[in-house]
Amino acid sequence: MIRDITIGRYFPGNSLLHRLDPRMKTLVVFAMIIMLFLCKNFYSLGLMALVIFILSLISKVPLKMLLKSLKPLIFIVIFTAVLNIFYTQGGQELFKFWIFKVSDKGIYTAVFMATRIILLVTVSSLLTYTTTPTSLTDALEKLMSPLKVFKIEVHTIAMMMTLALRFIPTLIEEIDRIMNAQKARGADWESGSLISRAKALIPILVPLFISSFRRAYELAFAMECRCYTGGQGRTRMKQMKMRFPDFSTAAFALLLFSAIILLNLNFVGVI
Amino acid sequence: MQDSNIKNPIIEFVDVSFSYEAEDDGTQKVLDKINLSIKPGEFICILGHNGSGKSTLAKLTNAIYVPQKGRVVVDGKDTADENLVNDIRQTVGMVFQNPDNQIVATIVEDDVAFGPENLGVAPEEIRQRVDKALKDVGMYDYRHHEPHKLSGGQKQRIAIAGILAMQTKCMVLDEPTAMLDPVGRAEVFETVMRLNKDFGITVIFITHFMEEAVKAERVLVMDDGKIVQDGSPREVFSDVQKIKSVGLDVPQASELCYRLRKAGIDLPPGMLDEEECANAIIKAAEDIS
Amino acid sequence: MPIISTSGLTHVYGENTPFKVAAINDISIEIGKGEFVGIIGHTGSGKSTLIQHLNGILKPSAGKVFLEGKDIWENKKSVRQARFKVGLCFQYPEYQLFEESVYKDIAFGPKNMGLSEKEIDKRVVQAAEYVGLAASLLEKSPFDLSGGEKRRAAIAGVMAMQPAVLILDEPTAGLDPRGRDKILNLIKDYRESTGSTVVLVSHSMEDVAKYVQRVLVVRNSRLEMQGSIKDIYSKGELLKDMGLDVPQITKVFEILQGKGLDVRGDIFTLEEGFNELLKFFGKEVSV
Repeated sequence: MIRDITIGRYFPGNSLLHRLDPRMKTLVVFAMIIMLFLCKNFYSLGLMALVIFILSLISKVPLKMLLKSLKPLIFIVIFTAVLNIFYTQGGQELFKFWIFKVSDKGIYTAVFMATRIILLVTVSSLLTYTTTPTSLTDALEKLMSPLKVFKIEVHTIAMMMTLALRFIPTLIEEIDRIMNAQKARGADWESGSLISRAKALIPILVPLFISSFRRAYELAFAMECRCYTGGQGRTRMKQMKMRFPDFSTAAFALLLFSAIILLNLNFVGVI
Repeated sequence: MQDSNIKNPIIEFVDVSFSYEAEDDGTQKVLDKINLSIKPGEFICILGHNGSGKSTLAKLTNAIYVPQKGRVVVDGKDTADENLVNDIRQTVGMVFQNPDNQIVATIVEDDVAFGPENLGVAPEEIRQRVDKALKDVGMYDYRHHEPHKLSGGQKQRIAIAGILAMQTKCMVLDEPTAMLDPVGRAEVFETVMRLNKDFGITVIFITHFMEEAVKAERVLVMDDGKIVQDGSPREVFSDVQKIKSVGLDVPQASELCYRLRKAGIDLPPGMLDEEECANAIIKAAEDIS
Repeated sequence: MPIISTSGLTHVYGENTPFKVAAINDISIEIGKGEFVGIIGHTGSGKSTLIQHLNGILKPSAGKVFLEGKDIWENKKSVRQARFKVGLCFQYPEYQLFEESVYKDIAFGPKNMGLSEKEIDKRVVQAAEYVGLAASLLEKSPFDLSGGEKRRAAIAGVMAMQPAVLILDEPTAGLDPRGRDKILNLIKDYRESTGSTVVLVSHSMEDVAKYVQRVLVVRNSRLEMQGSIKDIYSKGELLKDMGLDVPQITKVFEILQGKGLDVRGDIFTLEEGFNELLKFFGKEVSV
């Protein structure tokens, strides 16, 4: 159920990907997401798929875990694919039934879109699987630090993200517990009209809010006791340092980018 | 005491009173003229039923609350002085009841580093402190784990390591074992005892469990915002009636001896554990025959 | 016929994943009508999973749960019936309070049962009485109660369903000694006045010895042993292995016996110990 959500989970390891500077990793993954959107044909997309596949191998994250992160999105992938099959105009008509026409172009677009979504998810999960949430938020804090110019509280945002990541599993457990407790008193949110189902959520939401406020209050005390006064004057145990592999990664990303642009030009051949 | 090298107290309460604002405009007095002096290196257990004021007393020791009347002085610093708040919190660390609500990071070692990071300690030194603190509480092997997957006792030890890494001289633990099972309870209590013995860290341990209190050097019993008993466990647990009258328990061994004594069997007061209690009974049996 | 029984009850978490674990494994138990049963075991032993099967919150991966001889998973209606006939009070039940008044919160269970206004009112008042909540508290918000009162209000919410079996998962966790005694005594009184079956999950060997008639020991997701207090508590070493310890009073008597004093070794409560020693010293035993 909700416990199965794997997005944002860290998979401990010591691969090259694990050791890269989280800032560079975040930037490159961001760049690769843009590249995925730039891909215009199967050559460029195929290259991206190959690169992402090799990166998965390097990360040593089990294939099973990667597939698991795709699981919640299967519906979206299929939905997009189906939509594209039926709504893409033009191309050669393969067969038709009722008002739907299926063309080769439709199938082409459907497969293309589905692959793109799968690659998008895989590359982002590679980032979260190989980077601890703490270093990820640290990286974001650093990367966003230019925004301070616009009076944006970058540190506060990063701290909020850390705490959210920290408390998601705790809250999921809590929801589970409250649901079971109310079920034991005969609560039922699986039958009845939409309104009565929504109403049935009150016995879960009220205790959840109350306990979250209590947690927040206690956490604030605990943080104060540990001398937390915001970002000023704070040091970090884990220093981020760009090393040779990081610069190589940057160079590699640039190379990949050029390759995508070239392949997009279709000079290899046209489909 | 005429001891010439008498140590200055690390925490001192002088006529401290504290009230919360109640809903209907009035105030509710929680602490009433508390006088208390704690010496460096002491291991103190505070007992008291819910609402007796012990949690408030804990929160006064590191300037989370500031007394409305009287003074709290920590290592020579008055907690009312806002400029000294960080110094005071570096002297007195706190561990709370709910292990989940005091861990801020998603990886064990990052959480332990949180305190020293806030203090602006240099990165290399934080690393050393974190590693040492985790070893001291026996959690070094778990440094890369996610806290939410640990047991309650392990989480509390992480919280303790977080304070050790700040190199505080004193540790205040507000019912740290209340939500744990017997194994976790023993784990946490023994860790704290060891830290007190090995490093001379002053410990104030608030609890409901008498088997913990009997192992302290000094026991304070609170009732209705006042300290009603202050002494060694033996002294405190001798007066079974008094302890029961404030809604607390005594160890079974103490109560057994107490009731036998009342029934006319000649037993000394204040027996704390099964060994003492059994020996006293055997002695009484020999005396009769 | 036992009121609840299980046969080969097994529950596997995360089936079809690499993280598959059996939380309980092949557990067969019987609980008689009107019995006061204790369940002990280490955190993570599976005892919480076990009790959540007894009222159909969890569905077994294998094995069956019978309530009065009928399989509770027979159909949708029978599962719902099981929820009401077997009242389960979770750990820290005060965190499930949600209504605007204590009265409404206690009425939540009976309301879900589809009872009449009149019947609900009768049950709420009675349940509040069982847990010793003054009538004046019923109109208050549950969040304005003290910690102990909240806990008792939550327990009343389960009692108001008038379950044939009441299961309580560590009802005294986190309470001070006075609050603890109050709750245990009200559970005892409730059982005596209603004749219902009560199952108490606890870490406190003292409390278990004082209140229950029979003990089930769960360890490593299996039923390790079951029997009377005497049967179970005489296996001190095994209990220690599981992170549980016999009561201090039992240890006192073990030492006394070891040193050749002519007293019983099977003493598990303070009361028993006190009386045994009075007898030993030739004093009048108070009744």
